[in-house]
Amino acid sequence: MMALLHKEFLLAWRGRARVAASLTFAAATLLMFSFSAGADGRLLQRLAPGFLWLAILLASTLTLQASFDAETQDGALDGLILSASAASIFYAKALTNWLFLAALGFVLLPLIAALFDAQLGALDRLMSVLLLGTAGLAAPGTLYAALAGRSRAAGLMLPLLYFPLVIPALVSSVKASELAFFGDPMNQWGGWMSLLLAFCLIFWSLCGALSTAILEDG
Amino acid sequence: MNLQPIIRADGLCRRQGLRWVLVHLNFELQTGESLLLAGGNGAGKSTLLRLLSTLTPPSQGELELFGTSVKVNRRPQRNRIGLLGHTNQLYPELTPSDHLQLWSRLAGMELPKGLLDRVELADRAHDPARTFSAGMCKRLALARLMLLNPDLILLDEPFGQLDAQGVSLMQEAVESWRAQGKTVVLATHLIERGKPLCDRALLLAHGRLKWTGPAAELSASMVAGADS
Repeated sequence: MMALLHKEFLLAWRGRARVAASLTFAAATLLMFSFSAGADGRLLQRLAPGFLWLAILLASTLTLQASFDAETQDGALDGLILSASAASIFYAKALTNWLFLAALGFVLLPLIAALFDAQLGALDRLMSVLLLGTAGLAAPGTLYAALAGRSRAAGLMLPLLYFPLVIPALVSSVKASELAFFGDPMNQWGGWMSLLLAFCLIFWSLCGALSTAILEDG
Repeated sequence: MNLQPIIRADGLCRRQGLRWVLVHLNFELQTGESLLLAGGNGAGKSTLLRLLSTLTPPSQGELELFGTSVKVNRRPQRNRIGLLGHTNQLYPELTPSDHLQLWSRLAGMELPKGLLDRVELADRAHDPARTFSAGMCKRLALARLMLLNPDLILLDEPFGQLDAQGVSLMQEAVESWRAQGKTVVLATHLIERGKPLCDRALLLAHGRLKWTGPAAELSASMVAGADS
């Protein structure tokens, strides 16, 4: 597992132009959203949490797809499957994708504050939501990227499969972020976080179990 | 020589979509034997190698590797199989040095010194694989097999893309594996290159077994005739 993680970080570092592309894409998306919402300051603030998660979701498709491009370009996945279990290959990729998406979320926070005039409120809560919410995107996203990578229309397949599945994680993340941004007078933040945690636990376990069928039986 | 069959195929079939690409193959290969897989384009050589590597499951029939069915648990079998397929199984962004470290760490073994020297890539040890020619990539893929030294070695068109030096490197590697008692399955349409390296041959045409016998008795006319 450590060898696989090391390989994933090495691939991310050597392919850092792709990392920069995801970041630029997310920043450009936020910029477009802020312009499309108009000049109403209050409306911009209300929309900030939703737009933050939409930007992360859209940029995640680039990251997730790229994570399996390296495996399929020269058949590296075949060699990997002969040497390591499918579950360890999946978890190494999912962990790397999670860390990248969480880092992307942290980098976007100052941009959100600037473009949407949003007060970052309870920063510790916001970071917790980003960590858990991106974990909720990373596991099913990585599994579907593996599945889509076996298809010729990978770029088309991934959003089709991935977006509907992560709706519960996305809704919980947006709601928990809103409460972190604007305050939580009714103490609802814990409930949304519990929902998000349950989603993560279920999907990290389920996707790990399904990875064998998807990666090995090609 | 140990006469335990390392490969036993019984009614082995593989379907891709609606087409049967391998039809009812029956053969055995003993430990330490080397097999030449011959046949024209589309004969089913590469598909058979993928089945033998356990990367593709059979659609019908039974395939046993190392005395165990591939339907049971493929992990212990996979640790003993090395495949050099149509692709080189490399990461374009990683260097030969990175690749060797990854493969040795995955196999839980020490990285032997001088491996890149043996495949004549020592001077490019820190260049990314994307800057390599096809022949250099194949030599790096060969280094993987030399490092892992598996019991069953599957080679799909191993001489393709290699220059004369690369071809002799590949031939030396196969001879060395045979001398160590490893089992080698070599698929090639260059049968004159493959024959001296193999004990037996298996001729495929349209996914069916057309002929099997000593590799020395296989001729180009038999391969051409099988296709027609």
